[in-house]
Amino acid sequence: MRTAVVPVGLRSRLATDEARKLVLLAIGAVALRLAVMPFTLHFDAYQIYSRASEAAYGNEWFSFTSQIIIQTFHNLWLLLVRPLLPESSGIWSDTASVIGVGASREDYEGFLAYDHLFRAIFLMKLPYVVADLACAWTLTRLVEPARRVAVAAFWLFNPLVIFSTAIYGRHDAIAVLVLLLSIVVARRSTDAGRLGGLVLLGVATLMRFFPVVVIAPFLLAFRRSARQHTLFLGLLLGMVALVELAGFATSGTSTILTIVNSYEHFQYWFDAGLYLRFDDWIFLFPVAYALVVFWLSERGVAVHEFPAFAAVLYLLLFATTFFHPHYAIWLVPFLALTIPGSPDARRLLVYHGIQVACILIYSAQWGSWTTWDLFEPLLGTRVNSLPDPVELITGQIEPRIFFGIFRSLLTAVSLWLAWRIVQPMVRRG
Amino acid sequence: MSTLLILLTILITSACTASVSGFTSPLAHDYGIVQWLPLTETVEQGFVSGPGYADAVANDARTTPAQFQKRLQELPEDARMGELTELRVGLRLMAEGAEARGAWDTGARLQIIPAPQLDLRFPERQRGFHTWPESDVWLPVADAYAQSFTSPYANLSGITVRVATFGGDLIPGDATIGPGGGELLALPIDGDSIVSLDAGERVRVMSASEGWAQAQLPSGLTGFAPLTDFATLPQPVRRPSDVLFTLRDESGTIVQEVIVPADSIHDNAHLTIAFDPIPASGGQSYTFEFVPTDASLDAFTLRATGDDDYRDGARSDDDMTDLVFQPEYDESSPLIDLPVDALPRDDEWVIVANPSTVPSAIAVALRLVPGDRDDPDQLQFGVTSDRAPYGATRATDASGAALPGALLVMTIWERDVNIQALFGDGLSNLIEAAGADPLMVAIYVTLLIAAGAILVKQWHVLFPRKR
Repeated sequence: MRTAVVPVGLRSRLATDEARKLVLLAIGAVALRLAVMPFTLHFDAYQIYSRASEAAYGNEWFSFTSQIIIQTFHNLWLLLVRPLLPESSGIWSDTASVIGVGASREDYEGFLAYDHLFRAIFLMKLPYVVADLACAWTLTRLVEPARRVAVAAFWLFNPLVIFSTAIYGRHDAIAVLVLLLSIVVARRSTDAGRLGGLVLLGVATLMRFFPVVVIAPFLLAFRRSARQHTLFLGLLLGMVALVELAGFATSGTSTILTIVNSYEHFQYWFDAGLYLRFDDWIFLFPVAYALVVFWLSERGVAVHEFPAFAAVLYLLLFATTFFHPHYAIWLVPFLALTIPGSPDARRLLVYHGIQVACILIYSAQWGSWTTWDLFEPLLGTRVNSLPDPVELITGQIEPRIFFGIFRSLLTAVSLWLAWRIVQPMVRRG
Repeated sequence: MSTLLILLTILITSACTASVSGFTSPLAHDYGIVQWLPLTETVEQGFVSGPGYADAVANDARTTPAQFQKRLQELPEDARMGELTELRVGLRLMAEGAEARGAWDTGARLQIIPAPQLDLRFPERQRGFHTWPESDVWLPVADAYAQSFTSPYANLSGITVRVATFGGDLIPGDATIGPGGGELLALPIDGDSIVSLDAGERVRVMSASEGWAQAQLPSGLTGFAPLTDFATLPQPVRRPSDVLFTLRDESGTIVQEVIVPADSIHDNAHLTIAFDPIPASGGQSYTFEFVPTDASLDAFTLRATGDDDYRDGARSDDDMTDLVFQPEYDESSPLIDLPVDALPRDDEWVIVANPSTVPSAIAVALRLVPGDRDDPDQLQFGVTSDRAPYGATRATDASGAALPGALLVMTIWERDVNIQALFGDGLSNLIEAAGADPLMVAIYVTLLIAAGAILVKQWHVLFPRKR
C-alpha cells in the first residue's frame, strides 16, 4: 500500500487544527491574489519599475534619489527578474525619473503591448504579494495562539490589502512588513531587541512616510527607562540628520524641506483645519495627534497596548486627512491586531466593513484612474468603454454631496472605531 | 457559483449593451478658479464633441490637442460616440439687474457651430503649415494619386495637398528683383521680415517653396521672396502639366471635377483645390484623385505619410500610408442657435436640454453672441484659467485673441456600452497572451488548480460541519 510522503517535521507542525487552518487560509489567500495578480495594474507601478529599469538595464543606480530605499529595492528586484522578461528593454519609460515629467501615456501603451505582459505584471507584483503574505505571518507572531487564525484571516482577506497589493500593485506592503517586524524585534525585551526594532521602524519610515505616525507610542511602549527613551529619540533624530546630510551631499537640497514643501501626500495632512487670520491655521490632524501623544506620554503605554494606540492614530489620520485609496492598507495591520479577539469583535468588524465600503466608494472620485483603468492590461483600450465613475455620478448628483456623504460616514465610523478601541483603556486609566 | 456562471454566460452570449450617461466635457475634471467676464463681444470656445474626454486625456496633464484627438480616435466606438442629452454653459448676470426681476432680458444667443479648423485628424493639420517631417516621403512619379477619406462635416469645399514639381519653378542660379522691389522673409508667406530688396538687385536663388524663391544676398543673408517679385529667374528644365482633379462619392460617381492649371502648381508647396461646397458631405465617404494630363513630364508628385496617420481612409497604392491632405470647408449654419434668455438655469449654469443636433466626435465651437438689450455688461460668462480644454484651444474673442482661460462648458452624453465586446476583448487578450507565453500559463494554471484542489479537499477544516 502506498502512502503519501509527508516530512515528519511538517506533519507534526500541521498536527493542530489551528496550524492547518492557517495553512489553508494562506493557500486561499494565495489563490485569491493569483487570480487577479497578472491582469490588473496601476500606472504608478509602471512608473517605479521604469525608474528601476535605469539601474537594471542601464546600470544607473542613483538617477532617482527620492524614496531611495524603496526605489533601490525595485532596482534590485528588476535586475533579478530581468532574465525572465525577454526583449523587455524597450517597454520602460525613459522619462519616468525626470521630476515633473514622468512616464507618458505613450510609454505605458508600449508596455501594455509587450508580448509577455502578464508575466511582467506578475513578476512586478510578486514581491508585494510575498510581503503581504509575510505580513500575515508576522501578525500571527504578535498575538497569542488562540487569536492567530482570526488575525491572519482579517489581514489575508481584507479588501483593502488585496486591492492595494494584488490589484493596484502598490509596494506599501513591504514597508508594512518592516514596521511589523520592528514590533516583533522590539518585543524581545532586550536592549538589542529594542534598538533593532527602532532601526527597523526608521527604515520603514524611510520606505514610506506613514510609520512616522506610530513613532511616539513606539518609543513610549518599548523604552526601558527615561534615559533609553531619550537615547532612542536621539537615534531617530540622528537617522533623520543622516538622511538630511545625504540629501545635501547628493542633490544639494534639504530632504526635509523638500518633503514639507512639495511632498503631496504629506501636505494632505494639512488640508483640513480652521482658518483664523493671515497665515494662522489650526490643522485638524496635527491637533488630534498631539492630544493623543500628550495623553499617552502622561499615561504611559504598555507593550501590549501599542497596537491599539497605533490603530487609533491611523484611524485619526484617515478620518481627518485626504488620502489616495490604496494607502488605506495602513489602516489594516493594527486593526488586525486589535479587532479580532476584542470582546466586541463582531460589532467592530461591522464598523470596519463600513469603513472598507466607504473607502472603495471614496476611490471613485479619481474616476477611471483608480477603478476601471486597473483592468487595462486585460481589457486593453476596451476598458475605455466603461463609464468613468466621476462622470456617471456627476450626471446624477452633485459630486460634492455624493462623495461628501461617504467621506463623512468614513470619518464618523473611523473616529467611532478609534473611540471603541481606546474606550477600555480610558476606563483603565 | 453555478448561478454566477449562468449569469456570466448569458451576459457574454446575449450581445447585450448597457446604456450609460454622465458628464464628460473639457472641464469635467477641472476645479480651477472661475473668473467672470462681461459678454461685450462674441466669444468662442472650441472643443471636440462626444464622450471619452477623460479616457483620451489619460490623466496626463501634458496631453496636447493633437495627442488628445489621436487618442480619442483610437478609443472603442462605444467610448467616443453617444447622444448629447444636456449642454451646460457657465453664464450669470451681475448681482443687480434682470436677475432680480426673475427673468433675463439680455438678447444674447448661444450657438454651437462646426469647427473643422480645429479638427486634427487629417495629416496636413497634424503637421502645421511649415512642418515637413522627415518621416513623410515624396511619392514616386505616377499616372495617378488617390486617397479615400470620410468627411466629418457638411459643406466640403476643397482639398489641400502637398505638391512637388522637381524644380518646376526654377533651377539654382542668379536672379534679378523686379521693378517693384520686394522683401526677404525668413519663411515663405508669413515669415519674419529680414531685409527689403531693391528693384534690380541681383541675388542668387537656390530653390523654391510655396511659390517663393529661396534667395541669398551677396551679404550672405538668406530668405524667401515671392516668385512674382523677380524680373528674371533661371528657367526650370521642366514644368508640370495641367492636372485633373476628381472627387468621387462612395458609389464611385464623380461629384467634383477640376482642371488645375500648370501655372498654379508650385514646387514644395501646398495646393488647395477649391470647388462648390457640398452641403450634405457630413459623414460621407469620398475618394479624390490627381491625374497629370502628361505624366511623362515627370514634374508632379504628392507628399505622403510614412505611417497610417489617418485612420478613416487610405492611399490607393498603400493602405498603410496616406497622402498629406486636408479637406476644406465653407462655414456651416450653427448646430444649435438659441436665445440665452429662454433657457432654463441651474445656479450659474444655463442648460440646453436634448440638443441632439450635435453629433459625436467632431470639432465644434461654443459661441456666445452678446445681445443688444439690457446693460451690455449685464451678462457674464465664466472662464477658468486652470487648464485649456484638451483637443481644442483656449477661448477667443471676436478678433481671435485668446481669453485668459477656457469657457465653462459641461455636457452629458448618453451612450451604449457594448458589454459583449468588453468580455470578448478580454477573452481574446487572454487567449493571445496565453499563446505568446505558454510557460507562464502552465505555471499559473497549475498553481491555481493545486490551490483550488487543496481548498476543496480541506474545506471541512476551515468550516467544520455542525453536529
